[in-house]
Amino acid sequence: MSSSEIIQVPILTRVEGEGGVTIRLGEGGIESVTLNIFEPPRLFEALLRGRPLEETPDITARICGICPVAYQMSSVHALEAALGVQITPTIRRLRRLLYCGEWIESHALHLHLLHAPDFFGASSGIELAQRFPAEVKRGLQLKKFGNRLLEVLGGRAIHPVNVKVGGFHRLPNRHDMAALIPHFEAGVLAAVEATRWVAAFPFPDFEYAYDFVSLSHPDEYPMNEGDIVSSTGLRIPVTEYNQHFVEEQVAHSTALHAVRRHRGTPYLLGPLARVNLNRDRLMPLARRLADEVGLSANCCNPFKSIIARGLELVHAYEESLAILRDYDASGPASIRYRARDGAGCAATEAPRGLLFHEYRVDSQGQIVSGRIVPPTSQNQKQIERDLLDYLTRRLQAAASRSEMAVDCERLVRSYDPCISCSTHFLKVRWEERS
Amino acid sequence: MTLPFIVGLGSHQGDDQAGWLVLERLQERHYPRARLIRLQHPADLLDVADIEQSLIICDACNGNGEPGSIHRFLWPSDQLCCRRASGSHDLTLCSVMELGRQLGVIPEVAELWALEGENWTAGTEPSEAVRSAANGLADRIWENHCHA
Repeated sequence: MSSSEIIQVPILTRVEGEGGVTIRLGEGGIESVTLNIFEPPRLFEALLRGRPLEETPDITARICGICPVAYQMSSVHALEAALGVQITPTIRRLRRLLYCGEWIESHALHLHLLHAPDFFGASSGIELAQRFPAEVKRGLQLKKFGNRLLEVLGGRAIHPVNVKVGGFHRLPNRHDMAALIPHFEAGVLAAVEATRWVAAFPFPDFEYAYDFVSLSHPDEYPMNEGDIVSSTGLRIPVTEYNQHFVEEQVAHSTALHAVRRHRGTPYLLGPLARVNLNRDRLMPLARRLADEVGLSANCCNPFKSIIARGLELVHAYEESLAILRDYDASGPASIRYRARDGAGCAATEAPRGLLFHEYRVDSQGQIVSGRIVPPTSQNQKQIERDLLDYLTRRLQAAASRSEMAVDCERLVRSYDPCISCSTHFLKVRWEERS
Repeated sequence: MTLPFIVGLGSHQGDDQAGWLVLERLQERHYPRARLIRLQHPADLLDVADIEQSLIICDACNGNGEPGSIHRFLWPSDQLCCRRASGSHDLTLCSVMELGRQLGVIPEVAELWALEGENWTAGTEPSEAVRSAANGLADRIWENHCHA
């Protein structure tokens, strides 16, 4: 194949980690599209083996600088399942608050500085700031309040240090929590304005019949608990994850691809999946805003993920405010436990989607085995499928190759992939000479 | 003459406190407290910088020099921004400076001082080399701006 038959986007920009896209063109159109992930494997699961289980939340948090809370939450819930630990309602609420802080940090920045530039032909958030200084300032302010929340509750904004199996090392003091309230009152309003702004963007006309997957809880918008549900009718407890989802190795990526086990089909996680599957459990203002901005009930346009991200930003601010306003610092910071043989798993909702962890621990409190399935590796196959469909349409519409290369980046950015997270595993096969 | 705003960037991770140490020394030398700004995140610079006021930023760095070496840059500087951000969601000092310029809050020119560190462990004290370099840098800044 000559080089003229390949379009390459060598490095994807404004995504976390190192990845690229290769499009192979044949006589009949696009033959294949591959999302090439060449970030080196991280080997975190092997690193955990033989270490005290208490180290797991802080070690796994190091997988990602954007979503460390997600790794901490999935790991502590999985280990608490293995140890039979029941946390208190206060700890449970504070964990939701911590997660809100992470969603705020991640969504505010992605929405304003990473994704919004695509809708105005700007090459970066810095270029966008020339045209929309007030909006970019608002985005930074929104992110900053998320940072402050993580500092108060987690000890620091990136890689918080206050999370432990059984709860927290210490509960935040009431004064520090109360001091956040005025910022979050302003933040709710700013998040609403941000969502209205992005909802008016010109969206490409593209839809896909997704199999959306997320956690779902009867009483609340999903974060730390719930069943796994899909838009195609699946509803299972998290303990059955492995019976319905499987990871596969592919030649062009250091990250595994996940598919539905029996169908071999891709699925989509993340804000759009969560909003579509749990819209009625958004906080009241976010729910009304979803109607106001006209997001359809089962939106299947991946570019509109930015609206879903905005709604979750509003939700996270609203829920944070509710928790901050009636924070009660009484009760233990953590629940004591005894080491025992056991296994447990948990899934929580990282900003990019469902993050599954499972661990086996021994009677000495050491990790025997661990497995982590991050959202971006679960989304990869669907991203490739979307690229193939979307670029085929663009080719039929006589888009040039350079335009298609730009289209690739824009579509991939709409999923806010975290490539560094996805390269958690490398299967090594030894072949011996006979 | 109005004295410049001096921003010290740092964290509680060993030598990353270099920027804060510079401020502490300047405070000891009675540099006006209101013009010394201690920050943890580069993005916070956008809240405190003023396009009308000259700006000096002191931060730790991890380059090729010996611990305690001091580098001076004048913003804008290509030399300073050759390093890639550690993540797309991080706002590095360079991207914050650039963004701040677009938003009209960072002055056209700023002076940046970087102190080489060697220990970045959370909760540890800064090394003697960095402590000494920070004092030396603070004295130099004081001499340049207060003694002239």
